Amino acid sequence: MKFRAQPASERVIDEELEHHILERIDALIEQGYPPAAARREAERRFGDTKAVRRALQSIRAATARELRWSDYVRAFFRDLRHGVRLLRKEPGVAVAVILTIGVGVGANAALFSVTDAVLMRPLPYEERDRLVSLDAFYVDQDWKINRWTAERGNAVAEGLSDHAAVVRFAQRSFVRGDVTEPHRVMGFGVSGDWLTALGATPALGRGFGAADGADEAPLVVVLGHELWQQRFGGDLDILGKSVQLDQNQFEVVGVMPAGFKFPPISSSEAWVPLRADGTVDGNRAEPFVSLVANIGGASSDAIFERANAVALGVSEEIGSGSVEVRGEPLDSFRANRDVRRALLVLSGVGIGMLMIAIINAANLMLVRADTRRSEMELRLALGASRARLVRQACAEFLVWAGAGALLAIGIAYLAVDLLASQLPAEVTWFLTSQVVVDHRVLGFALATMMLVALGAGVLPSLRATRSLVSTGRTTAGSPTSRLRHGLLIAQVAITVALLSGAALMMQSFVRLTAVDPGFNTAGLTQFSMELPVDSYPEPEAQRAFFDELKERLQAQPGVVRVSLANGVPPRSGFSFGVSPEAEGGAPKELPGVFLPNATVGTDYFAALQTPVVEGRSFLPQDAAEPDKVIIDRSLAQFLWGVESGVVGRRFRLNEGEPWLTVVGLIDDLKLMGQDDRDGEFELFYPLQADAQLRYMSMLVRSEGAPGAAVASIRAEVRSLDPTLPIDDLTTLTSAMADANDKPRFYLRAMGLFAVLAVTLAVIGTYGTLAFMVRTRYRELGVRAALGAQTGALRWMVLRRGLALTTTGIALGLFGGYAVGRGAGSLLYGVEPLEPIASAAAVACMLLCAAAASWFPAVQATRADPNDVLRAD
Amino acid sequence: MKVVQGTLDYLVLKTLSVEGVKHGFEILEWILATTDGALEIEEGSLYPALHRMEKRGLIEATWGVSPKGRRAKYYGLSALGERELVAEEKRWASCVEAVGKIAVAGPGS
Repeated sequence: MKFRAQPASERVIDEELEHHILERIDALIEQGYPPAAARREAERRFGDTKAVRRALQSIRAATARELRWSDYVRAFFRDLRHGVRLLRKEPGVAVAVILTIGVGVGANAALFSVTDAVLMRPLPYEERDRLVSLDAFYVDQDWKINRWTAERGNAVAEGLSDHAAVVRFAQRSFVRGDVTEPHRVMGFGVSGDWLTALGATPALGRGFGAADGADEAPLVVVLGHELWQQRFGGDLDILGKSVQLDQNQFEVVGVMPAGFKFPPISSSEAWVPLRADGTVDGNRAEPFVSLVANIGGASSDAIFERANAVALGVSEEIGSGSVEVRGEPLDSFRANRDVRRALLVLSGVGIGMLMIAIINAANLMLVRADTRRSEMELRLALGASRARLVRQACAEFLVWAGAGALLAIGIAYLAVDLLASQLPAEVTWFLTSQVVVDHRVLGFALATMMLVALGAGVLPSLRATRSLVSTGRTTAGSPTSRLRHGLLIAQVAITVALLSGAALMMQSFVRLTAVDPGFNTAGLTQFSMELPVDSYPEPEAQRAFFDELKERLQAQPGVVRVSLANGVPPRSGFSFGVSPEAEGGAPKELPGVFLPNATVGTDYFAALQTPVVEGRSFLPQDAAEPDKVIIDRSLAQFLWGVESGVVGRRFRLNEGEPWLTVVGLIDDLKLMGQDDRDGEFELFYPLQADAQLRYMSMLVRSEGAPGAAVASIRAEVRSLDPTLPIDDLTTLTSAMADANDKPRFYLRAMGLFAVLAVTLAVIGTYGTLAFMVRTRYRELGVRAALGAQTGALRWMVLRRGLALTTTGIALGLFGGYAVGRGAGSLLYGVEPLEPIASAAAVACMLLCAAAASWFPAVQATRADPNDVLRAD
Repeated sequence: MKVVQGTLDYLVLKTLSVEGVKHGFEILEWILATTDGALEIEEGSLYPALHRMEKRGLIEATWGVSPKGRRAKYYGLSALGERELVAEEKRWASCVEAVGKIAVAGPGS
């Protein structure tokens, strides 16, 4: 190794020149020169070797200096073409990598975009950082609410008007009755220049401002994007058209952009001016208002101080209890605990999935780099420059990563739409902006993936090109193989965690849907109606309407029973903050949040086919006795510790409230749906003859096709009053199923992503294990040649694969437990570590590992040892 | 006859165009053989020429193993080199023509 100490470039120059001399010497010897003379002659003919060498070196140096940008670009594209050619030639690994990146990054970005839209994306108002919500704090009761009685709220707003732009708003549900299918519009009356204060602009039209709130101003409305799309077909000429809301005509003056809501957490669909007289239509003043203030450059403390001074004055003026103003940034509340938790779990799934994908891509590329190692070494030995080889490796992986990125972007956009359309109502309620692909998330996931892929693809080639001497063929102890083992274990662990999480969700969902609701859902149809106070002002008129409707429905063929009720499962009324007290006992804290209750007509339990097991059902005479109640066994158990013999006993909901007498006992009924953990006791009051029946539900039990009742209900309501909308007209079966749409969504999302993750992991694990076995072909061949038993060899390979997998599984079970703990209240009736769920996950992974080790091992041991030995 | 600087480039391009891929010694031997030894080339000077042409992208180099089992740097014509060769040949043809005209010119013509 004469030129060892020299840099590579000089070595190459010398080698070329030396080669020439050697060739010349050969030629001269052939011509008859004696060897010693031949060398002298060859050198003479060559001329000044040193001068030539210097010339060559300076050319080389100049080449390196003058490599221009365009040369790099040209070389890059040449390498890129090389990458594409390789991809076409060996699509297997490449397709796996591209799919991995696409699915892993795409699905993750979509999942995270939902979390982002609910929890993180800034509110869609330009002025969001200056907006505060002014809440009423009732000092005596230690209770805060973001709603003021109109008198107080208006006074506070008035008193602050010199210091901040205060927007008053009031929820006002309208009925749009002049269309074939009357429907409800969730409207908000908003005061003053609300759009300016919020910093929002309509997508269409001008919106409205302070001038439109004058008492004599014509009625105008701004539509939400969704309402405009769904009920007005996205009519671009909507501006200036008239819409009837309740009894009044409103002119459409604007359409808000998609995703706009105000207040941010609401189901707001339309906005109208809240006028100076406190009404939205000149008829009745809205009884409550909420306040949001744009404090501009002022400090919020100063504003709150001022607001409190105002509130104090107002309290003295009104002469009722003391109310303080408590202010908070408008954006301080995003979602309740359950939704937050669900989204965090789903994001965790997304991250797990991304990690699997990254590990997978890295592993596949390491495998790839290893298989190309000998090719690299050969090319390096033949004089290819190291930079060139590394560049080529980069280019190859860039082609893969680029294709994967494109796929990821496509999948992200598709999956986001899919997810957004499947979101349960509870989550959409908390959405503060549209669910769109979050580019930061997508970009971040892609960048991470690229970095890792590039690292895994290029680093080995860097190492491979570092030395000319082949490092031999065993891979058991090489750094890449150790890295591969680590990655494999991590991958198995994450997969098992995700799998057992998904299995938990599944088990929980199965248990939830198997819960007996306590009544016979089949054959039941329900609907709800709100009677507008303008057309049905008195309880008599309301009762007349519902009595007539009930009679007409009962006369329909197939209808067995009809009952009027305020509260039909799975959506009942409820009390909260109550501490029930049995007569002679002490008040007890409720275990759940709510005490579900319903005010029901005489036929209610008959319609539900829920037997009254003790005492009696409600009778017509109970319509004048509001203290007669029916309870279920769980409430009896809670109050008296017995499940029977409670008829005639008395209890009350809170100290100081009237005593209630139990007249009937029923088995457990799930008024709040099958998941009743927030309120498991049921309490039923008799519907009173003189009650306001503004918002009521009806239960219709019928025989025959469930849809038949739906049609006749619609027809009968229309013939009674064509302007009334019917709410939630549906069969009880589907209503109960809808009540489970939240766990169903989580199950589907989790299940889908777990399946994707497992698919990726299986591909990755199989690929890696199979590759590891293949690197031992030679060793297996030697062992077989030395007389090792085939079975023993196969077992040896299998054992190694299983050992790695088992380590991963053990770690994964811890992870699965963590997922279960994190999911907590999302799970129904299952423990964080359920044997069935965990066993399923473990079995799945073990099978995969066994197959991935076994089949290549069989292949290796079946081959003729001679062939295997000769193969490399 | 000494080879003029610049002419050597043309000779190399031509050689590679006719013979395909060759290493330095082969290129030299082919030129000498084809011209029946009429051209005198200082052997060492071939290499700076080859390297300059490689740098200009006229020829491409790759390492290979010669029939004698020695590692050798092989040169081949690039697409750019082919275009260059065509242009060179045109220049040579017109040059030869011009010189030829002078050669046959007699007094008074």
